[in-house]
Amino acid sequence: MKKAHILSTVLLFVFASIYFSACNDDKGKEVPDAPYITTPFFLNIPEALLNADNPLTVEGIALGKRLYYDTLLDGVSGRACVQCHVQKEGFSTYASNSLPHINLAWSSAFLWNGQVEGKMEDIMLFEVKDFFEADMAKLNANATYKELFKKAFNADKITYENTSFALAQFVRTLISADSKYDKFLLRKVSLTPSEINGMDLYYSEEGDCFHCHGTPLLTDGDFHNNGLDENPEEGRMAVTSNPQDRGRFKSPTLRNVALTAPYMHDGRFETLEEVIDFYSEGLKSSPTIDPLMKQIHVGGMQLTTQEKADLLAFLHCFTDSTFLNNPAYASPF
Amino acid sequence: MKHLKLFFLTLLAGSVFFQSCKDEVQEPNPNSQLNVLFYHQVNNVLLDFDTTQYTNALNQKFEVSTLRYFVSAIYLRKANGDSVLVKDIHYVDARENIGMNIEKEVAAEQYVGLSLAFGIPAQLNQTGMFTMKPESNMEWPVPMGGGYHYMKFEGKFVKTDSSIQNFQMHTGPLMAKDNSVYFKFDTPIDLKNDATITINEHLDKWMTSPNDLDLKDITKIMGNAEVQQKLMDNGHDVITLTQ
Repeated sequence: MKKAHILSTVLLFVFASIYFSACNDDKGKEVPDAPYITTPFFLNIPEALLNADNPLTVEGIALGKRLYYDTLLDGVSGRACVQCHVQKEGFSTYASNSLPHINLAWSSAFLWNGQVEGKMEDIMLFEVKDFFEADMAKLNANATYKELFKKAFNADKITYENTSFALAQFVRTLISADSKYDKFLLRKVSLTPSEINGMDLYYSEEGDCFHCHGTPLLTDGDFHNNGLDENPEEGRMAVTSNPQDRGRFKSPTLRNVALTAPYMHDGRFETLEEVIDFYSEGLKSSPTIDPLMKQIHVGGMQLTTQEKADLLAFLHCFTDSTFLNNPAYASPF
Repeated sequence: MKHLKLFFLTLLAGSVFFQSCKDEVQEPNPNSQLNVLFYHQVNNVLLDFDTTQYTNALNQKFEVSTLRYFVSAIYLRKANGDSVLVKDIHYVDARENIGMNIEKEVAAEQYVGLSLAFGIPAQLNQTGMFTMKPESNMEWPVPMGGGYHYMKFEGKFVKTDSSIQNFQMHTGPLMAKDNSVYFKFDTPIDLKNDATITINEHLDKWMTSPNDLDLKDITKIMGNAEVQQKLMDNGHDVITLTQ
């Protein structure tokens, strides 16, 4: 009886221990050093394109910001993201005519012709690896970054991937949602009569800005041939090889548009006045012209001088000084 | 007695162990798979974008470049009057092959028909309900009543002087009016086994019966209540159902 008791007890422990470990894939793994505990960061925003493999953390965002402003990222000529994406210029710059880094948490196609598609990590990987040709050895030799990557990702080695992950975290936080227009929608401020007229034009089919620059993002994130040239450049076609995509370029967000000159993919317009004149009477037809260019047969919307002034006044309502001065986005150096 | 208890406990633990990682026993599935396909046609020919030239009731030649729309309130109906929701709001972009089918598991039985709305019923159509593209890009401006477009059907047509002009057949809830077109098909749908049905949109029918519409008038129509009404009236036979 005693033997049976012992046998049963042993079997019970054996079964129990096997049961609790049977479905565990970590059998036989060494116990690692205690990992750094990251601090989750929550963006209070509507549904966006986040990445479950790269959750936002305080440490990851801080690291991404540092990398964004650091010339160490460039393996060749000492550039940094900030040279083409300056906060006061809506995270764009005149010299580069780069698309602004604003509200990209909702974007899945990047650059003017959308040559990088997917998640924010994908475009950041492109920037790190292909654009900056980042020298990973240089970063790995930097004690500060070694510690910051350890804290953000529990990573002993700095790679293209975790560098792009850090940058993606920071860029996802660059959210503009506090312009005069936003405040107007929340009934916190009033618009002037001219701004109201401009808004009515913007959201009417006479002005028809909203089809490509609508939604709270002020962009549809899509590609259009808006009538710049009779013989348009390749545009999106360079990516898709589809002749129907010739001349199609990504609609940029109009948030902070007053600060993101020059305009169009090739920066041909210096001012918003020139842009409005173009849509009013400067459109040129081509085989792939977007059907949304309704007045293409008469060269544009044919706006009056007053309508142009109203539209310009409304476009200035997209300037978001909270975003432009947010210390959370400013250089850590 | 104590030992006996311990022995049974051991056996119990053993059986829990040997069961714990097994796949669950498959029960017979009382449901069937409904597959709803979306087809698009012009003059009974499958839609081809950009290249094929079609003719409408007024003998105008046109090409199609964009077709995006919502169908909603898709219900299977039973003989006893009950309904089973297949999908509340469904987005289709025919050019990009988005939303070209719906798969839904439903109780395996005979249904007497299917109902749907082309568009979005007013009570469902609220600005801000879509935050992500592509659906969010169907936004209908707040100054025009808010909500979302029902359809963006765009292309080019040949004018009488042989020049080419764009058209944009954009329908939606102008000033929050429900311009959706409602369909009730009394077609028996046997779902005792898996089945496929096809919802066909006949684009040419938007332009005729009862109103022959000239494509030169199908531009800047979002704010035009009269044209929106005409399109809604023409929509009565735009959708057909086949099995």
